[in-house]
Amino acid sequence: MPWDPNPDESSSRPAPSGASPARTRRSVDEEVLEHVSGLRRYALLLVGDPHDADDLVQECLVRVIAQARSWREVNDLRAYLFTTLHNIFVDGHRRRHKHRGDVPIETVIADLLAPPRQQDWVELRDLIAALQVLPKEQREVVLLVGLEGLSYLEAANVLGVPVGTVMSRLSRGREALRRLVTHGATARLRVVK
Amino acid sequence: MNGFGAATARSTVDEGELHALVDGRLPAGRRAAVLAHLLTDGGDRERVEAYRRQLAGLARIRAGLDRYAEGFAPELQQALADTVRRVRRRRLMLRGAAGLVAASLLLLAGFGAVRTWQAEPEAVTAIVYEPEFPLPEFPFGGSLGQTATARPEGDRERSLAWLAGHLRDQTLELPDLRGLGLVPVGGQVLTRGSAPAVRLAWTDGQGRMVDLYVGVVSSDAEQAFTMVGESLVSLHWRRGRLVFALVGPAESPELLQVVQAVIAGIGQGGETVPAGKASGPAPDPRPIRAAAEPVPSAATPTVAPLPEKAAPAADPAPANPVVPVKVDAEKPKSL
Repeated sequence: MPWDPNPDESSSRPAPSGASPARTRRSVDEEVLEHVSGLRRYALLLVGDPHDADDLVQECLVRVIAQARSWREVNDLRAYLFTTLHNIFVDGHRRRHKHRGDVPIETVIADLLAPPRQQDWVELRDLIAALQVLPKEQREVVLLVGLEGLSYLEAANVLGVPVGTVMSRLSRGREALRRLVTHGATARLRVVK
Repeated sequence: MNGFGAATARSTVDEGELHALVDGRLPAGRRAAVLAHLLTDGGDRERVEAYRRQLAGLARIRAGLDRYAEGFAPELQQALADTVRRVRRRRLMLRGAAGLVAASLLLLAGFGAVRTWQAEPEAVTAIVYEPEFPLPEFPFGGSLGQTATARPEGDRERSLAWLAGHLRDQTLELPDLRGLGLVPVGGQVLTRGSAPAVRLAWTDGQGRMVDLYVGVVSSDAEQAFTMVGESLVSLHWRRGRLVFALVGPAESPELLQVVQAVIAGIGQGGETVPAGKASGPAPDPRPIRAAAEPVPSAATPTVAPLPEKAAPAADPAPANPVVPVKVDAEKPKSL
């Protein structure tokens, strides 16, 4: 096998920002706050609705803080936070209502962006619209790796799946995005989880 | 295994390597081979370029959402802060309870270990319990007011004298409460608390008990007072090393005057206090917690002054309404 998708990344990449065995309560608070922006960004593109996204982040933070387990057991706080958010998202996915507003969700999200050039705005809106069409399993991987910069192993840990599954979902998700952006959001997707 | 299996049989470069190249995670040793493959495979080259455009788009989205993502809505921040406080308070209470349970278990374990040690010295294992948070002290032991219906059997002067033996820089004087219709009925030394403490009791005209708990604490640790029943009210305050709890009928308006009288007579850094040894810079009696209205300060009394002459009482009260207690601070006395 020419390439190992599951390398020992500790030797080639810096440790996750949350890794600190001797973590204190105060530093945990500060670290949690550091990751709130990433959680909100990820949640917004994951659920496609700012209010649902904030509800998701809020529930995630409350659940993490309320955990009875010792903070010292958490070696990678970022992965822990994203894992918790993923679990809440999966648990509540069925009951969570879809965006029912008159304005398309890609426009809602694109309006939250800092004002880009018109051409950029159109491209970003198309990309956001395509993301919303992806199956959620593929969307999660594409966002974790492409948006938040998690390694394949970190994404696998967050989602609770093998690294091979992450690679498979990433490949299918990116290919689906490519087709959607190229042929428009009306292109039909074959849902493969 | 990289998740693509037979789909990658078309080339020595598999699908995972293409994505690793896009994500910048391809090992340097494979980079040349993958790039060479892209020179010969136009389809893969087109896909890789498209994936890179996706990444660039996500990067622009990420940058564009910075202002949104960092501006956590104020109401959410407030809700989160409230939740954090509530959760922490509950966790502290649970940990405190767990600490008490653990301490009890350790006592039992220690007792068992001692017995084991007496039989087999090699079997002793040291167990060290280090609570994460300092546990509060309970100067008066069990729940206040539990003995509200029982008259203390001891003598109040003797109890107070015993307590005074634990004081070094404060005076103790029994207040005369007969003007408030309270008749002294006795006192007792409390042995179940974390500090030397006494209970002094009075009864009102209806036979209801008013208890004053006084303790001498030796540390700055948080002092915990247990709750009383619904029909009772408890007023707590601290002055220097002295902690107080006054327990009486909830509807009794005289309790605040009792507090004032107690403050005037007990725990003052009075004339007998050597200069510089008083625990506080100036008398400033502030109740730690009051279930009723705030207690007026001694400087601005809002209640009628106590009568100078004692009213007739059924209980044979001493001629001198205020009983000074000499403080022999060096050695605590035992009853």
